[in-house]
Amino acid sequence: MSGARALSRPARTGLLLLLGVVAIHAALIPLGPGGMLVPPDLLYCLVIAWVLRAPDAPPVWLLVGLGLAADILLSRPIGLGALGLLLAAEVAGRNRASLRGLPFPAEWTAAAIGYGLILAGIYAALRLTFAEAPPPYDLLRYLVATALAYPLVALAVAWGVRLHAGERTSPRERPT
Amino acid sequence: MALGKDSDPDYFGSLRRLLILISAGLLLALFLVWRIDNARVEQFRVTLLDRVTPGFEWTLRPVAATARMIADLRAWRRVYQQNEELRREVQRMQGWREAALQLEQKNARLLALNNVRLNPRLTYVTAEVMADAGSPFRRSAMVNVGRADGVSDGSTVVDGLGLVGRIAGVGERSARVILLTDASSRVPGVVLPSGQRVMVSGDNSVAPPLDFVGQAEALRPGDRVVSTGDGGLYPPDILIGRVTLGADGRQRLRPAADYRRLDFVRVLRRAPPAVIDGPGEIIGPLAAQPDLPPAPPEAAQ
Repeated sequence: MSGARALSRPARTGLLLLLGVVAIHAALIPLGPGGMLVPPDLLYCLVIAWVLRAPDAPPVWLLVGLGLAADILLSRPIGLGALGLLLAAEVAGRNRASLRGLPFPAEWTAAAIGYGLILAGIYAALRLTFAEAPPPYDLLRYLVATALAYPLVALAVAWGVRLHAGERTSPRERPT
Repeated sequence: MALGKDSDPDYFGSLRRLLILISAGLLLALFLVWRIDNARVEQFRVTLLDRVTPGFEWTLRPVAATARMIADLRAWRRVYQQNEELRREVQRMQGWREAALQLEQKNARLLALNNVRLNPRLTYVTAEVMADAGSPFRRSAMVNVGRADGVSDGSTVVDGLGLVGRIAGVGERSARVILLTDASSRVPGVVLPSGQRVMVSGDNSVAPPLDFVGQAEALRPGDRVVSTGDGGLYPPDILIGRVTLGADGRQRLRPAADYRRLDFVRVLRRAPPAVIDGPGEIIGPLAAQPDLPPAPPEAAQ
């Protein structure tokens, strides 16, 4: 294929790693600790938007590593967020061909539904193991914040990063 | 690399599926470990945060400061009005300051007259808030003081006015503050004019409800709630907030600490008060008898 102008596979992996770290880091900014603000899960948006646009799926270790780092650093229940991210990315990757043909609102809805399922799964797991679960209202706001952030992240991924050279050739080369 | 990218997609597909299955199993196991040995995993989390956040601090702070400046800029039109308000407020405060000074002097005179010996004053270390919790699962914040500054688990955190929370998880140079509003926070308090004991139990909302209220009708919205020293975790007489009536009809607490502007906090370092847990050795009942019998055999020989 015409891979000469697109990023190579190691470069894509490195770039996703870098953007993932930035996404985790952005949630840590103390804009109003304890206040009403709920930060969106940018890592989920990034990974889903990336998987739907990249020519192949990112490596499993990268998804697990990023998900675990987010779980640990963002004080979420450890393991569940990473599991949800991994499964969502895999499901999105397997249905890439059909999802890519859809108009953007459909992709957006699918991403939001996916995140809703992840949060519902986490909530159920916390309840089943008698752990403290946040009130569903908070999780709903988390879902809304993430859904609102998705188009922006998807735009950034589609526009800023030339993932595949198929339909669009990038004017500038990006070595890293 | 010997295998081309597209040479055997099926082989790669099944390998990937296997990897995902293994990872999913490991992640589930990790979650169970977190549930079973929570304290140790949480300590690991704090240690990791302690390693990571100071490295990011130089990026976190300017971004937060810029965001705050933008939020403040929105209010620039009201600047004249605000100025007037502040002037009036300063005037009022100066009156109060005078009254407080006079009271303090009077208090000192009375204490001196009566030879009162008070507990050693609390010492504190001022910390800057470095990072947010980042998700709705916890109401917490990271501050930039840690074990090296004498902070320990359970230390009380206040801002200029009221109780913010307590330290849960200490690293070498950072610590995690569990806020009053977190679902795992319970603070025993007393409502001041009526003297009712209450429990301020966080539920992740901005106004935590008051539990275990003796006579709910004795509480009025606006009453002050201060901490009692019950349980020994929080020092007594720290302002927690005011009673308010929630939208659900429950009596709730509006925290005195300003959570929206949590830049600097004070972490109190407290020497725990001496606990008297038994009778003294001199005037107690004759409890030291068991020590006596071993002596006679030697004397007999």
